[in-house]
Amino acid sequence: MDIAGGGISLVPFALFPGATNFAEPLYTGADEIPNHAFLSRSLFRQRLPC
Amino acid sequence: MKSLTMLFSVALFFVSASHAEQPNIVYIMADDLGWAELGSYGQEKIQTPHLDRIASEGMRFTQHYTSAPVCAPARYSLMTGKHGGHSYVRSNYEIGDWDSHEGQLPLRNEETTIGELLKVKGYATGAFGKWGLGQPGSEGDPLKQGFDRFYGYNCQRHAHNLFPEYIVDQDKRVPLEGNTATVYGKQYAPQLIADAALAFVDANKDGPFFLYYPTIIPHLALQVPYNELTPYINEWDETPYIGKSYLPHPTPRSAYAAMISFMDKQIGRLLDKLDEHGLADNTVIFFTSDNGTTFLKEQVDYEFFNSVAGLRGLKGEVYEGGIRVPLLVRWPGRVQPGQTSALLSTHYDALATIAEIAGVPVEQNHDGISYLPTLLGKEQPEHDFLFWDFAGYGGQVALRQGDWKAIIPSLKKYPEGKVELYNLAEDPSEETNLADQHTDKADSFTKLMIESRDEPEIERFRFWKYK
Repeated sequence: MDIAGGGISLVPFALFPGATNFAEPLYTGADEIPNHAFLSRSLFRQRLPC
Repeated sequence: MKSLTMLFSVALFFVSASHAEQPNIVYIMADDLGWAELGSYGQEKIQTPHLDRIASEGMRFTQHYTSAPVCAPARYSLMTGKHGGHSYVRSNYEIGDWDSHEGQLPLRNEETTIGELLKVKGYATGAFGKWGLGQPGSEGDPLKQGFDRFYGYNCQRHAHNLFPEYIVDQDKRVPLEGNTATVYGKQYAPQLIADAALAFVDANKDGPFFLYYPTIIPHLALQVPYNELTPYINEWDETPYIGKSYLPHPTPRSAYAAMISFMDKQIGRLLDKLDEHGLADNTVIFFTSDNGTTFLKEQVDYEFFNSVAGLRGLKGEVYEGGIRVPLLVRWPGRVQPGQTSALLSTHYDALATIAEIAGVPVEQNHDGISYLPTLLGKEQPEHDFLFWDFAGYGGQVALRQGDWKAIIPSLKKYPEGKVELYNLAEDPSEETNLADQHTDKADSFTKLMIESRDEPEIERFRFWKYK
């Protein structure tokens, strides 16, 4: 599938509902942040290797 | 008039000579970049053209090691020249709650750092990236440890997000608008850090300067601006990472490659900046990594990238894959281009090397040997052995002497320890333990390791035996 129209194949963006158009930068704004539970800040704060 | 002109010429000569004796020094350290993740070290999938250029224009070391296989102790040893058996910090040690960003165990005031040594010779000193050796205001604050300028992440935990809500500028937290410390944001910290490092070069182009650039790339989380993904996005099969570790990414392989290529691009900008100011010939550039590739395979597919080229172990281990790291050094006109060195060398040699380059004596007790002679093609004093004392990941020690290497893993669980012995010339992947066939060598290496260990002040770092 080529949503971007520029020859860029789509990866499974159902997992990333905020990023509906892969032709756009993924970092354009906070309103695009997916709402998955695993992205919650509490999970992000878990102890991870430095 | 003639005499005045001559006087001016003589003065100019001495100014030039003085400057030439004090070259600018750039020490770049990647974060969790594996032994074989640069083109010059055999990487075939990730593009690193600017670092490959540094390799072709300078010297590439094939037997260079970090002092420890995780961030904080590696940085402590780099700054002080002490190996793990003599270092105050022997593993990561977090201060405060996990999400408080209060930093790590501070670098002690009584230590002499590379920054402090270079200040003696009038260097402008700046650190840009990840510090991990003490929060602002503590004795380990980079501004109290020989650095005039700091910009980046003071705390290693803070550096787990590349779109952070704030960044540390000197000793202040500066909010980054548009960032919410989740997957996406508006301001990519590695870009801001690179920009700040280049601005430091601009501001100090009359030199001499020391640019310490411990970039946070390619440490997780997988986060990179979209346009940087473009060269890789269709190249490989991808399994989206949706786990609960750092942050998810739809194309983890592309993201990891793109992060490393992004780092390489910033180093290319730095090379251009040095050219722009006519500083390339009077600037020594070092490039290395703090430890091996991460072991979190769903996020970083180290087998796909052949990240450690068949070496055993990864980040957190004193097997070769955790501790052997790239070292590239470019110094046009002084280091001959296209060279390779198999000198046994380590991060705790950096202090002695940089001090010798700058012409500053080192009074502090340290464990390093300057590898400047190797860089200049001169006779090189060598280590009798290299030693690692790492209190993390179960407690491990290792010693390398010539082609032989001894390792004792899991010492906290098995305090008596069982030494493993490998011949790296014949067995670079450390697959065949020869301890039972060479008991005398295993015993002598074990004795050397114990003799190399001072009992640490921090109780959490204590394990096994001390001299």
